[in-house]
Amino acid sequence: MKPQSPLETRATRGKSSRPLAAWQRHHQQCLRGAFARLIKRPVGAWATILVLGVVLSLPALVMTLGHQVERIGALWMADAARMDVYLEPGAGAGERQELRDWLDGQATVADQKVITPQEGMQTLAKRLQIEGLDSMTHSPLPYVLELTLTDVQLETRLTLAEGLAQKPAVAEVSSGGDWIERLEQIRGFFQELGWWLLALLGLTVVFVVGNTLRLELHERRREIALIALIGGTERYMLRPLLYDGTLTGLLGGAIAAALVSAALSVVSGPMERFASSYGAAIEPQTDPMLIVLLLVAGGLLGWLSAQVIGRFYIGRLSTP
Amino acid sequence: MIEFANVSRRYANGQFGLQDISFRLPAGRMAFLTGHSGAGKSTLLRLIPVLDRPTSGKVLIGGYDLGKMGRHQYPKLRRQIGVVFQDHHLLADRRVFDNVALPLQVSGYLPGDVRRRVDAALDKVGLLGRQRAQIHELSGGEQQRVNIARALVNRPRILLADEPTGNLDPELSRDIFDRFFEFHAVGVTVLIASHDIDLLKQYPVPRIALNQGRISGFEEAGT
Repeated sequence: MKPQSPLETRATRGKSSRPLAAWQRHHQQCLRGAFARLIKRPVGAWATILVLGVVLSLPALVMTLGHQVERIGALWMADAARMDVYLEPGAGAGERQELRDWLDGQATVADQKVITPQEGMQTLAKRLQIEGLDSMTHSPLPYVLELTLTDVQLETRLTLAEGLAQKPAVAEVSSGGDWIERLEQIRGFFQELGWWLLALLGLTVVFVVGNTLRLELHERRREIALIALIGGTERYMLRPLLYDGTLTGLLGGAIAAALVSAALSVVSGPMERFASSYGAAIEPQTDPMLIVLLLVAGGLLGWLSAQVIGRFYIGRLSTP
Repeated sequence: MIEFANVSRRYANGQFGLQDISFRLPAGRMAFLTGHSGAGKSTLLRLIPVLDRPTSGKVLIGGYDLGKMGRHQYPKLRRQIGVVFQDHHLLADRRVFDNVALPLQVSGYLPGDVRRRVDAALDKVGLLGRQRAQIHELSGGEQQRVNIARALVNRPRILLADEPTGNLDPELSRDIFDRFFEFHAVGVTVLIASHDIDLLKQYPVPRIALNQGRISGFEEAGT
């Protein structure tokens, strides 16, 4: 076998007979060291972790807000699967039937119900609680077709509304398209903002963790230079830093998850009241996937910071 | 074993640290590097474990041109070279045992082997029984002996020392040099930089004199 170093001989090669055990032991030492440094330097380490927690919680809060808007939207959407078609007062039975036949042929219409002017008046009387209103002989209200749609997509509603507008028997269509469009925009805005914030603040995390690790490297520069001198590999020198960075990121992610949960518990009361006004029950809670995402993002960003900063500084300290 | 062929080291400001240095130190031999402060002794020693690179010429170790060596090969080379510095380079927050054990841990030795070798190295420098002492509890001479134990614990093929007795009294200096001489006697290639001519003359070892980065003379053993 060709020697890998000019001084290596058969006698000196492979002195460590169990490299895997040594590697494993060093990982264990690094993990213990990372926890020990949290205890040894509580102020510096926890200040960084808290900053990370706040920074990571911001995109998570925006995404959670977007998620809640989606849930509130879903309540409205259930209501929005209906569309009311007001007919012309002069529309005769033949025109009404023709319109109903046309609607039967529309794939987006699941059901249709005719509300006669008298039925409309009865409903109005009941709602307004005015006695005698329903006994009027002539109702001024028009015929109304109450449609149940197969989906609540804005496009479906607009296409159907356009088709109905061309029918001479139709006076007005209550499509509700404007507010659905607005709701969609709000939801999209929160989602997009959340991802942008995650990207920007992710970069911030890399810099914050990186700066903490840089200070740590500066403090340990003599030790690193010495390890390089006695034959430590860059990976060996980098390993403790990777554990420090990853642990800091993971704890930052956990703090962020706790902050998001706390924020949700604050808004849960108003949200539950809002949902009950729609006859629905919403119990705001932190999405478990979001907690996993925060922990993974925190850990990965911490690890990435350690890689970037560590390779840069260790390379400078250990090579001419 | 150690060969310098027309080696020069020029700094960014244009000054030469070394100029046209050529010499050869065969395996198992010992030599002293002499010269005043700034003569280039430290610069020369730093080129051997690739802590620095020459701007021209070749440094060969075991016939292998270090200029052709990749970054990933440095650790393996450095594990075979023990280096003793004047200012100790000891980790003040660790005990004697941890300081001496460091090269073995870096090389991936198992804990039992580490313990045996550290004890053996400390025994050689007369510090057996001080394993648990903190570095600041030791005298200057003891700290230097810990430094030597750490340089030797990996059983290196080459031992380099840069002004190893700079801060020590004559008696301790003599003690330290005696130990270097013992290592040379068991086959280690030893190169020591020192300006203490009176001390060096007590040993039958050839001297390479440096002056302003150039070799100003070779002196045979005992002269």
